[in-house]
Amino acid sequence: MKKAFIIISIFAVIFFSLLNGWSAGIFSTGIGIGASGDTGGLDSTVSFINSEMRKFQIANPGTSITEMEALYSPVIALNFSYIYNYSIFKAGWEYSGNYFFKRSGSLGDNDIEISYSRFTFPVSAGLLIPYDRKNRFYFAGGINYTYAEMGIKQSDPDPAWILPDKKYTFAGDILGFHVKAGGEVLLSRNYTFLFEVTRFFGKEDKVESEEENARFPLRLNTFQFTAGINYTVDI
Amino acid sequence: MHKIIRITIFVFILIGALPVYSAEFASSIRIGFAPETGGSMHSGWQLEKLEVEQGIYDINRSRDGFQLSTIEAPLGFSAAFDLRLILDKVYFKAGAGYNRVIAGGKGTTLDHSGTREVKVKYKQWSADFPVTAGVTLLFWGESRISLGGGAAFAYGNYSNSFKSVEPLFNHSASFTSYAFPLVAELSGEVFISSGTSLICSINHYYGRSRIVKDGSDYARVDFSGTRFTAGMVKYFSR
Repeated sequence: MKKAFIIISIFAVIFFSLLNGWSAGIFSTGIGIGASGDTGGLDSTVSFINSEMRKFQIANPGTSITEMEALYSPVIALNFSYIYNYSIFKAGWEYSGNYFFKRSGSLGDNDIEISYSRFTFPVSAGLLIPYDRKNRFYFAGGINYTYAEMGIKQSDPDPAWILPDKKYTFAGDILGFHVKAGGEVLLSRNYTFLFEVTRFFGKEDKVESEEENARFPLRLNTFQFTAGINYTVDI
Repeated sequence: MHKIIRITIFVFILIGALPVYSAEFASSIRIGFAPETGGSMHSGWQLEKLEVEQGIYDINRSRDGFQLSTIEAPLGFSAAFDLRLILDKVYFKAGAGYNRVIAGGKGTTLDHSGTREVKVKYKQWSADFPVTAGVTLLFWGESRISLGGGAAFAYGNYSNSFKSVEPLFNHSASFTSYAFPLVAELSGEVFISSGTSLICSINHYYGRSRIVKDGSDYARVDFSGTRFTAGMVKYFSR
């Protein structure tokens, strides 16, 4: 978290130092909901566990397995934007998790369940294609800090398997970058409808579990889209 | 399957029947390409017999003294058709797409012991029916940018084939299944007449089927990937 505050603070200082003529700009803020592919980055972990289950099955013929799915997870996102001429600066807060759609599988009689959640703070800058002062498209890129948590629970793990314990909890910081495209159109007065597509990139970070019984990668390498309402403060 | 087709037809009829007093109604047809069609192309047999854990991403092996060729990620041909309803600056769209591997996805590698050559061939085709919505802005009456997202019903087939002088490494399998991938799209149009425009579109899909079995082999059909297409749009009420 400390790293995040430092990065966000540096960006905030640069951002505000660039706002010489900020009184001519447009501030907006809003909220959106959407979906994130592969639950934000769980796909590699799920694939790894599925692959290990298959290896266990090959070594122990007759073991039944049910592979896990990663698929999508819901996203809620807050955004703060500042527009000056053809430039856009954005900061945000996003939450995504699979608490309502837990991924589960099984290896023999052992039920396996994965939970995942992340808080992401993206900071972006980009170019604007203005239609008028309330309708626009933009293309931006920037960096993002993510705090991710992942838990693996098992009902009856085999001591000979790669995950012999009942519980693993991982938490870690992930730094990455992103590109995004957004469109904002006027609904009424100062309210606009915002649609945004974001592609996150980032290297995985291997994290030791809180129980100190495994090391697993956490990463954010996915895409998401959100739709929502923005309120524009036209100064 | 029949239920999905009925729902898709219903969506088309619904869109066609919507009041168009303040709307534009358009249809586009596009063709293009899709890099890395089919995702990893992984299957259970590859893990069990060749010790390949991530399909095409780690199937290439090299060693002196063998006639090997790199198995490149497949390139797909894409075709798409859609109907779009534009209500001021928001659009709703339903369509159909087709994607098929036309290049790449084949070559020669080695087995896990590094002693025998194995000829590999991956193929995939898919048809999808995306339903999307988003924002669209018409600039100066002559160009349009649209950005949107949604989901699709996708149905397709992934097949693989492995050939070697060693019978243990002769194998082929075919997997047919469906999924509901997420879809994000960005397109730009330039009008060449009052009712016709040229369009370029980028569509990103993310979604895989559940596991499908073919004999002792198993795999997922992966519909993920980015499709770049270009074509023409006809506006019916402009």
